[in-house]
Amino acid sequence: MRTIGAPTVTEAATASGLIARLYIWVSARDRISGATQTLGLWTGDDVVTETIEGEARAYYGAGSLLGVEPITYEAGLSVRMQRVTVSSISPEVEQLVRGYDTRLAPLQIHRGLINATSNALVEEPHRLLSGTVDGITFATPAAGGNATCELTVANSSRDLTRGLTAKYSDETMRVMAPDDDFFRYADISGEVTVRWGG
Amino acid sequence: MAQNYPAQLLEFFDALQVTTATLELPVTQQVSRTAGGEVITAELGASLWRGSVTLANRPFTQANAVLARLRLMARPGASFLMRPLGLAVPVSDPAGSVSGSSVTIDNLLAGGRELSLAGLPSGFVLTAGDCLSFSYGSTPVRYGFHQIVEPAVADGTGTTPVFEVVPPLHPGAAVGAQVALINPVLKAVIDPGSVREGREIRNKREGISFGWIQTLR
Repeated sequence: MRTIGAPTVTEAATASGLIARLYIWVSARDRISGATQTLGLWTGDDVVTETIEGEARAYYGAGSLLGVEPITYEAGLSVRMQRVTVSSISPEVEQLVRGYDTRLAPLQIHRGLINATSNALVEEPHRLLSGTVDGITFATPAAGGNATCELTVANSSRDLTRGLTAKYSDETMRVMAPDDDFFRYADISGEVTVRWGG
Repeated sequence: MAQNYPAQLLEFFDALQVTTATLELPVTQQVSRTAGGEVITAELGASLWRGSVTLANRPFTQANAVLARLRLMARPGASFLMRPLGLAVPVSDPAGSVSGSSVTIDNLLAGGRELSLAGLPSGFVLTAGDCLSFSYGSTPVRYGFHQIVEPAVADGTGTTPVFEVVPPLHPGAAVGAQVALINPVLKAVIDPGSVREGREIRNKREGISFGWIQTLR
């Protein structure tokens, strides 16, 4: 369950309007160096640096992030897919999608509440979703059309569906316990004929 | 030589002969009408200036020269500096004598709704409706263009109290930036699909118009 901070509670109780902004943070892999490259997009204007989850993150705006479908929450462990629509011709998105390898890249969505009177963040944006990029639809529109790129994000429950990488073998057993030779003959068991008696 | 973007004032906007122009600051908001009859609004996105410009009827030769520049500016990736024509000078300084080089941003309040200026002549009056612009950031350089909402008077040292502007300052605006009160400029792109190239009548071309939107990129 999400814990809502005192400033947000106070803010929600007042009659002033509230501005909600979405922040998206992707940690993709650099195609050349293999290092992790991060990129933030938000629904506000231009570039802002916000401290989120203990680090200062730069979020680029000005139309890069067009929209996020309503996020469905449910109890249980089912894997949900979330679609995020971004502008496909903004330089930041081009960099993310074409410059970095986004396969299974971790992605976080935060929501920040902004006081309509002071135009400042009420408190640190809270996280709505954490998952990995599952697919990208990068479509070229008809002439004069709206350029959009759609990211499909799988939530973090999908990590639970990963298969076990351990094999039924001596090597796997010895990785866990070097002296354990219980599986020493596992790979040839059943193929070697054992004679009883003579 | 190929044009560099944004095109400077002299390269494009000041070469136009404008007859009518509009300037708007639309608000991106969501609206909810309650059963109680009230209207509740909340902001959805940033506000950028936009407007339209109609050019004077000119003989072919002049109109074609302008049209060539306009067609260049309508191409993807092009941007230009422009200045809203009715807002070129502060009300208190119609001759435009205040030096543009000495005025700087003195203080910025969090949230960007209010700021104060330094470096003005002592007692200089800023009137509601005056506009100011400044540039900040890099790759690309951003141009902030804001209209003063409440009047402010510079004190003996040339510093004003904080005053509010619309739209709120965009993220990235910094203290110390040089402010233009005379001929404030903004960076704009042509609204795609809004260019009307006019029609030829006798020896003139009439009805050239285009719409523009401010851009921060």
